[in-house]
Amino acid sequence: MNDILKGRYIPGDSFLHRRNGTAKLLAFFMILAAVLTTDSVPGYLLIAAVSAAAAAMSEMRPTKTLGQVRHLRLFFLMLFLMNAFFYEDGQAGGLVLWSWGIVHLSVPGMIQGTHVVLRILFLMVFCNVLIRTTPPVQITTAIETLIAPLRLIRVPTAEVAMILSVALQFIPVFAQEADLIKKAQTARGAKFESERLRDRAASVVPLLVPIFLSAFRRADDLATAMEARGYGHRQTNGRGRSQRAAVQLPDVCLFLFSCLFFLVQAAR
Amino acid sequence: MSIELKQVSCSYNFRTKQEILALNGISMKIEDGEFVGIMGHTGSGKSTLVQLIAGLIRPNSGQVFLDGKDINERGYDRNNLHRQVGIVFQNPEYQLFETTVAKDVAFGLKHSGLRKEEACERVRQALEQMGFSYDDIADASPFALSGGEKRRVAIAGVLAARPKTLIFDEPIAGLDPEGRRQFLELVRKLNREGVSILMVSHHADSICACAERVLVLEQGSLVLDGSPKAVFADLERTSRLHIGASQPRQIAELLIQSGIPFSRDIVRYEDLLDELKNRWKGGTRCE
Repeated sequence: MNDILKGRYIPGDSFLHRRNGTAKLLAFFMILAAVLTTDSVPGYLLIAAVSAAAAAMSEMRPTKTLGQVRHLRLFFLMLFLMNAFFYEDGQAGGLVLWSWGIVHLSVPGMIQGTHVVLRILFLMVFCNVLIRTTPPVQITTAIETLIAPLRLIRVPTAEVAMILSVALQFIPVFAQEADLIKKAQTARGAKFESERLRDRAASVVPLLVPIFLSAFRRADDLATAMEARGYGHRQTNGRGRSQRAAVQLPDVCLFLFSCLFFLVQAAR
Repeated sequence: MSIELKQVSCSYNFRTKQEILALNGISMKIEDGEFVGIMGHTGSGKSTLVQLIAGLIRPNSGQVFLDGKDINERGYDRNNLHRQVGIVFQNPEYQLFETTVAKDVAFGLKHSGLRKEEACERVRQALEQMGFSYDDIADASPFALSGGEKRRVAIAGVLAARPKTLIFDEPIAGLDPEGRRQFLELVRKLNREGVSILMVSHHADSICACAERVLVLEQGSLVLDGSPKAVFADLERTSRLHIGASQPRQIAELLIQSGIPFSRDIVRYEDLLDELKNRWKGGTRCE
């Protein structure tokens, strides 16, 4: 269960930690677009340089930015193999190394597979940097700011933001509770760590039922508590937002830089 | 079964910047059949300590021995460990999940290799120990019961495995006075039948009423280990350690402070009564 918590915000005071959440989120989207348009070796080198810079600006060790990638190695392998074997050969007209029925191991397929794997890898790096340097509350505030224009077409943006922030804040709570229930059931004889698949499958229900029940119980309690403090009784548009950080020059620079990065990658 | 800890240290977020040292080089021994109370301020490491003994977490250094065997060694039979050491957490009712009470209580016996009749008999006994009539409740849904009943069913689920050592982590928090009395009665009965009991609690009255030995933790270290009388002898010290004192002990202290010569060896209501009776018999009223 600790694995869930590992992807969490790490308090700190680096350059990226101090940036405005909205600026960081916008920059993240621009970088995301830049990564997805990349398809050449110099392009990947540039991305690698930018991700190294991001790691430096967040004072993380570059290896840490990879986060949970190690656990996903099978996923990446599958991704590569699927592309290598099933890539449409006629479209690229490339060299087919081996063919059997609908399966073709082709050079363009392998190149495509490498592209996909590299892009997702870099996306994860940037995503990790964003999550590790931005508290969940700031992320939801940023989302609220960004979707604010939708209020004009009567989307309840404040409510959406509230739902998001409540959901985010409950993740560590549930992780902790799941850990405790897991311990209680282990002590009663559940086999979560058994080597046998049958035992592990059988131990899912003793974990899931209590966690679901606790989720409902907590949701109920929270709803009551919010209502008791006046939520929903007045016009929600005027509700104050907490921690609205001012936009500073470095925030603007961060965003502009990410735009530039995207343009460079897209123009290539 | 005897429990021995040798220089056990344990921390959360080991080897990261957020490392929190929960236990710091604890050594101690608990003999078969003892009733041990564990006290300490919030965050002093009480829960970590009992979870280590139950084999639910592993120490970063040091060893935990049950009956002379290191439980964290490779090849140690952990299923057997879980059968011998039962643990009841603060809200045990949250661990219920089965469709009927009987099935839920029998959950821990599934892998024990017991014959069906034997398992059924244990479930019946465990439920009756917790004050239920088996025939009335066996087929009920655990979720249809009241809060107090759920808790008793959950405890029955731990008792069914017939552990030789039982650990309670804050068992009486949130119980009404009658529920508390019944619970302590049950624990004492189990202890008389030879089950070692480890009870974590903030409630000095309950600890004094049951435990023969009290361990006090402070910031991950074992700072006091002795009889309730010895531990609560110095009230300044106990208040510094945030463990307070039992009501009878506080009454004795008040009497002493108001100039009445009174014994400090009073931690239970029985002690208080005995002392008062003695004084009355002697014909000397407390001056």
